Amino acid sequence: MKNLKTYISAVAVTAMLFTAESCQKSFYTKANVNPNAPNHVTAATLLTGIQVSLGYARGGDFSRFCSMDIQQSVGVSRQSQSYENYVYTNQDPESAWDNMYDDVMENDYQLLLLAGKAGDHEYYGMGQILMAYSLQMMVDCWGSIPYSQAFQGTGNMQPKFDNDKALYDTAVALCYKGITNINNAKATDNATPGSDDIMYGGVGAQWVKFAHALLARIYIHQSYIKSTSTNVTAMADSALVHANLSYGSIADDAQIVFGVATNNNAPWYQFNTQRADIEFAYVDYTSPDYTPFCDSLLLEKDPRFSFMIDSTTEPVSGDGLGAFYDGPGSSSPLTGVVELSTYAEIQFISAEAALRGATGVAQTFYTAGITASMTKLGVPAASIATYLAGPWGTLNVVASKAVIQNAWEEGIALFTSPEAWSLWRRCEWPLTPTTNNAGGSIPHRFLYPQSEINLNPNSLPLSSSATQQTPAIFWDK
Amino acid sequence: MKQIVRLATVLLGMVLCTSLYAQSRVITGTVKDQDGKPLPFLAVQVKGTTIGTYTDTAGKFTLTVDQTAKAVTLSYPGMKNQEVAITDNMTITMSNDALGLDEVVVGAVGISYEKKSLGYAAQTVGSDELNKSGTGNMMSELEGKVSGLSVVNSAGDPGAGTFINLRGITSLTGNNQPLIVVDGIPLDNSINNYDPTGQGALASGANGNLTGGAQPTNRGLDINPSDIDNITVLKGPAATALYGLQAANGAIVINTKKGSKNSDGSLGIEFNSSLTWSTVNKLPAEQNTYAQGDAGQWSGPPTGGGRKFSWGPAIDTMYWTGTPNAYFTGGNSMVGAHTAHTGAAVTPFNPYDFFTTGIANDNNIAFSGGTDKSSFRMSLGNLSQTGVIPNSDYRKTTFTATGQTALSKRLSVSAGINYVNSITDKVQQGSNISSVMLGLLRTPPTFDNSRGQSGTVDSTAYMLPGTGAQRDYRGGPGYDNPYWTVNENPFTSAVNRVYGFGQVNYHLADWADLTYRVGGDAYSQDDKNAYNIGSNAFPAGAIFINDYFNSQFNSDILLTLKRKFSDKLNGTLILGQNFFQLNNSVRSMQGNAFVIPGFFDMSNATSYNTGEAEAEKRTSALYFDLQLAYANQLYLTITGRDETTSTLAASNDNFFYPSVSLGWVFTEPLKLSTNKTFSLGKLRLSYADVGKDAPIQGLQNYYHSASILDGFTTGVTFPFNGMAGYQYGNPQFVLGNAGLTPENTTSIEAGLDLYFFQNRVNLSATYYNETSNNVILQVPVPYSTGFGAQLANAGEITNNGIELTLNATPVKTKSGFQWDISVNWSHNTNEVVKLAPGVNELFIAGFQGGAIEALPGKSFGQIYGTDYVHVNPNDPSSPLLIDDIPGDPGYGYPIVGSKSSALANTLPNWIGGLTNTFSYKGINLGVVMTVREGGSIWDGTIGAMEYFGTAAQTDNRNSSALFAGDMGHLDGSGNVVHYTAGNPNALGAGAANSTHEATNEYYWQNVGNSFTGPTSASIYDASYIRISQINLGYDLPSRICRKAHFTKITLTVFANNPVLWTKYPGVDPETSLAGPANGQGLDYFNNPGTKSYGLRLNLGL
Repeated sequence: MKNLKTYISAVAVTAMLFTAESCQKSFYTKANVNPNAPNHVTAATLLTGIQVSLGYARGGDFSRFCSMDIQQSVGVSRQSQSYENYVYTNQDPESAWDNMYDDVMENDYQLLLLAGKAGDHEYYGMGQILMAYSLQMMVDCWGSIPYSQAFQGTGNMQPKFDNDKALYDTAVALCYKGITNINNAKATDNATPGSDDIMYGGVGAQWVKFAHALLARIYIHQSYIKSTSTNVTAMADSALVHANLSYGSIADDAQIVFGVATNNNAPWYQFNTQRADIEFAYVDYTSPDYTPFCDSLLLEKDPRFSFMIDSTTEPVSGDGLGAFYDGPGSSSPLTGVVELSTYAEIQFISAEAALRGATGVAQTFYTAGITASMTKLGVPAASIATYLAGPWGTLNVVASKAVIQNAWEEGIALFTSPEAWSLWRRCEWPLTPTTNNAGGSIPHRFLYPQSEINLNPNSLPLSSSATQQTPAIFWDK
Repeated sequence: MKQIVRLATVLLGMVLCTSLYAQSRVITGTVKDQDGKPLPFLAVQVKGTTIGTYTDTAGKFTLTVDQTAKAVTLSYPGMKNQEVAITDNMTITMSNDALGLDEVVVGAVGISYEKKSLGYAAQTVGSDELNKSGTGNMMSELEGKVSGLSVVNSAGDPGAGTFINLRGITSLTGNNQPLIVVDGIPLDNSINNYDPTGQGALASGANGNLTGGAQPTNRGLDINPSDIDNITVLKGPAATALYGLQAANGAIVINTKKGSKNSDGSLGIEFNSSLTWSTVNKLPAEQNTYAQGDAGQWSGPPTGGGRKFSWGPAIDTMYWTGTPNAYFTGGNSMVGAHTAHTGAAVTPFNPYDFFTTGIANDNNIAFSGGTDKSSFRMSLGNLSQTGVIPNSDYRKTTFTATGQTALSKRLSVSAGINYVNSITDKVQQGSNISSVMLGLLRTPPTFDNSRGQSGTVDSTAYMLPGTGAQRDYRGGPGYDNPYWTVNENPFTSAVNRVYGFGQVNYHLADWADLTYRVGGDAYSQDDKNAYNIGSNAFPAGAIFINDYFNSQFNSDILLTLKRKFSDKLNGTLILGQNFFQLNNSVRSMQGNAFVIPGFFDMSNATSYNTGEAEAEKRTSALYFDLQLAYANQLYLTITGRDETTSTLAASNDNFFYPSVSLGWVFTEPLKLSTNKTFSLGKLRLSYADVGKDAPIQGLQNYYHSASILDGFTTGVTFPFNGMAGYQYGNPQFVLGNAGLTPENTTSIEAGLDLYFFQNRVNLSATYYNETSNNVILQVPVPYSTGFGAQLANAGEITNNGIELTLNATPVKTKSGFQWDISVNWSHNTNEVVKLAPGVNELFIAGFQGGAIEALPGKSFGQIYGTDYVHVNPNDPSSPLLIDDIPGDPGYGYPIVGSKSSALANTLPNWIGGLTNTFSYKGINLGVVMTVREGGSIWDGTIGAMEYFGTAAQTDNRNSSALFAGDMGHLDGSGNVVHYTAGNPNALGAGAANSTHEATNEYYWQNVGNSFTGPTSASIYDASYIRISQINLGYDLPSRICRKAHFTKITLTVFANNPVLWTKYPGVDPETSLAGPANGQGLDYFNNPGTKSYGLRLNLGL
């Protein structure tokens, strides 16, 4: 009997073990949900993230690589010293590429899905314009890149590379659609942007100007065929049309203003304080010489010098960039700015368009461009007048020389902007490669990132042969 | 060992069922060991029957037996089985078993197995071997003492992490360290870490990529070795299959000391105290010939171009001039000998004066005792250690209490609780501009970081008077003066931890026992790291608080059924159920920009970031373990475990894995047990299949607070100017995967145990072959998908290897002299067979120019980066290509390539340990040597020192060298071509180089270093032979002890790591930048290792 009892209790215990095992499935699955991350967000939180990311990427690697390539800044240490000599590896553009695809465009793609589903016209339009802007910047650096099959996650693990010219057309179409969507905004729309739009506070009309400014840039890039030295008047005309529909003053400029808090600081400020590998005012090695760019500004008595360059900074500090770009300064409340596109640029685009055959007076635009650039930096009106009265105030009478002069001035106005590099590539103001140029000539394009070469076989036909010179971007041929 | 086994015996005594009808009588007895101590929990069985019982805690037993019973048999682990004729009130003395084969090994889930029966490798390390170093680090004490166990101490910092691994890497991105089990309860061994200047929270965890920050601790270090009775290392999946997915990398099974009744009933007191002095054991060599400056010109703080370098003039040609200032006590600048001067000659400073002598004081006291039914042990331990780097320390206080009692003949309970409080003051390390070694090793020989002071310096060494700005060799942005770092960048980590177990055993019947064991482990780790205003990493000041909380709950119910099928065949079946729950959370706060200098408090910041992360995991399992023993020679064990885990989708969250092992004592039929030469041989065979589940929260995608950074800056995190922002992914850039399945490792193991000369020599050899499939990794996807990676089952890794253990007693004389040798040797071949399709490399840790990666077809942990260009670019053994472009600054030097590839293997070919012990009349001398053969480290430290001009080898800057190789260069398409008069791009390489080129600043800064040049320039063999421990102990004769009222007095002097032979040019090659994480093999300004000397006193009362 006793044995039987024991036997029964043993069976009971065993049964109990199995019962414990067959718990509710949700007991397990619920445990695996991340309580600190939402499954759904609003368009507003995506928009802010996209804008900040775009500003940070553009003002980061893009700005640094481009400004070193065209000698607006000098890499003096570590990796930047290699870049200074045009020595880039396929690893170097990884962050720039990754930041644009993952931080900017993927989230922009999510915004388009979200706003499209909800029928929020303004968010949808803004998302399209930001996508167009991103595409234009990426194409200018790499040419052909994945877009039509990109951002799908597991949906397409090897997006094909789209042709660079076709992508420019896509960007144009996105701008038009964006403008239409913003203009179609209705009071019944679910959500409308406000302070979450850190560029324009949700004002749709400003976005329309921004889209036109981008269109003007896209068209002017295609207004000249280098190989045949031919102006494409139709493109110049389009550029001028959109320039006219664009910004009315420097108050309209598209830009991202960074913050005073350490984790909100502008990209150049972060680089200069955390890395200090790039100089603006002085070249470390030949101290106390100014950089060639500074030398030219000083030579031309350019009043922007003291705003763009902080020549009081220690020569080895790796700083020397004016507070406008890399605030917060130690003594000023300024916050750093990354300009996406400006009224000044639009004026220079207009001048170039006129010089390439569009109807307009180049000199007027040129003067307005210089004035806008100087005014924005805070140059006093009298100094502007003095400069304009000087040799650089008047465009050369020879159109081909005037284009280069216009480009050089525009390049100053676009100080630290990747667009300045594009200008040099198109208009080619005189620039000799830096002295220790083991890498050879000044780059005309970015290398494809190693990760894309390794992981996306679609890139191989291009990336295996792409160098810093070829294939040139379609408008740089 | 014995004490543990007592507990185990309670659980699983060999009490077999029998009939109760015969006439009976009651017999009693007492069982003692050779020293006269009572033996509790010893199995007593009436011969020829299945009637039996255990002894109580006083070693007494009472048994009701049949009138016909003639004798009892007694068996106890580690002792010879005995048969004793039944008398009234027997007193039986058990003798130790020379062969040690009746020893019991505690296997998975606390099940004990006779060592003889094991079909797989397991090795036990006793208490005596675990308390030698005075560092209180249980893991590092295992080094060299177990074959197949690799131990890497990350740095000599107090409380620095220790990476342990058994039988190689099986997981690419998950945990590769064995499960630590204390008294049957899994103990968390996480790495909780935050690297504010580099990887942020990504520096945490098994796959953490720590490149800067402070050296992390793995929480397994919290255990106090003084409380450990023994450690059983279960090496392979067959041994650990019952533990389930947590133990797929093997297990370190720790049994803590338990109390027992003293023979005279008194309270037993044990006390030990050790005092240890440690110094740095090895540092990179520096040049002290050339001054600060560039291109041969002196330049120094606060202004002057090129002052970041040590490429200045020869120091012995220079004099101080002017008046001393805040930077220089010798004068405010340097001039050459040709200049008129009145100052003193410049002499180099020794930057290594920075290091100091660390002192560790370890004290432990334990009380134990009991009655016939109950026993207890309580202990208190305190370790207080200062490091060789000023202001670094580690203070650990532990308290433990365990007790057990028999409530009735059937019911017994036991419980134990451990409390740990540890506080570590850590030091900044690695690629971090506050890193101590980084600031120290880049300092030119003419700059005195201490400003003429020694020992504990005052603030004038690192702070300029008046301004409070930093005094460093650059006089501005750059790297922190190491004295600044240790004073102004404090990092304190405080841990409070409780872990313990409770257990109930119910003896259901002679053939059935029920055990319920429940336990848990909960700790908080509160980290606070601040940077004063003026720190180069955070010029405005910053503070980081990370509070980690981790709790684990574990329960096991075990039903043990035993049956004797015949005289020869015994069987035991164990059925069990396990439930495990893990919760952890991190609360992070970052305060930016201080208002008041030197006030390290959140309230002093002007902007904030916060974050929280919580994770939860539940698993449950049903398992069985069937042991069959036939005729004392064949032992078959079959196990199975059916597991459910919360980390997988409901549709596939359940999986089963089996193991089979066979032990065959093939000498048993030969009746060799009394043979003087060859006593016993055993063959082991096993097969096991174990699983590992997916990462927590890995199934779906979420939005998370937005952030953006690039490779150079810390970037922007949200909120941004008060605005919220979110981004898509899991985590950022990673795609979740709802279809994840468990990782799976199958293992085949074969082994041989041979015992010679009555156990004077025993040899154990094991071969294993493991294949891990469906290994989960973050499969990189092209960024153009919008993501960087996707979690997926894709990898396959194989490990196979040999483990050898030899124990021998070459000399044993009648006079009492004995010499014991113990050798452990192991070789493991690891291959990452495949990653995901199309994935040719997987980054594990490190930098772009010095990464640790996994690549298909190669062993895990390849150093990946750039190399010099070879004449055949695809053949690294072909000659180097030497630049032949006339007028090129690189002419005559090797050409630095831009393509990255796998350059070297970081895993050793073999590791070994050799312990020699000599004892004579109470004097014991032990010498432990450890060897690592093969495997490389990327020493980026040397690379940067070469670039900056502080490395010893840059002393050749005024000489030249012939760079062997063929002349040529690469054309625009990357083809190897050479320059001829007629054709600048003639195909192929040209003639061999015959011209000498200067080994000057240009060479070192562009070609010869890995900092800006090729990764391969800094790869070094990390092989070493070291004497890791020497102990000389003396047990005072017992008559002296008795006079002093002690039962035992032992005095020991010891040395840790006194001798190291290695060709590695950096710090001690046992080093890890990433800490105790998977990415081993990186040295980038790692903090140095130490050697130490100490004294220890052990007292027993």
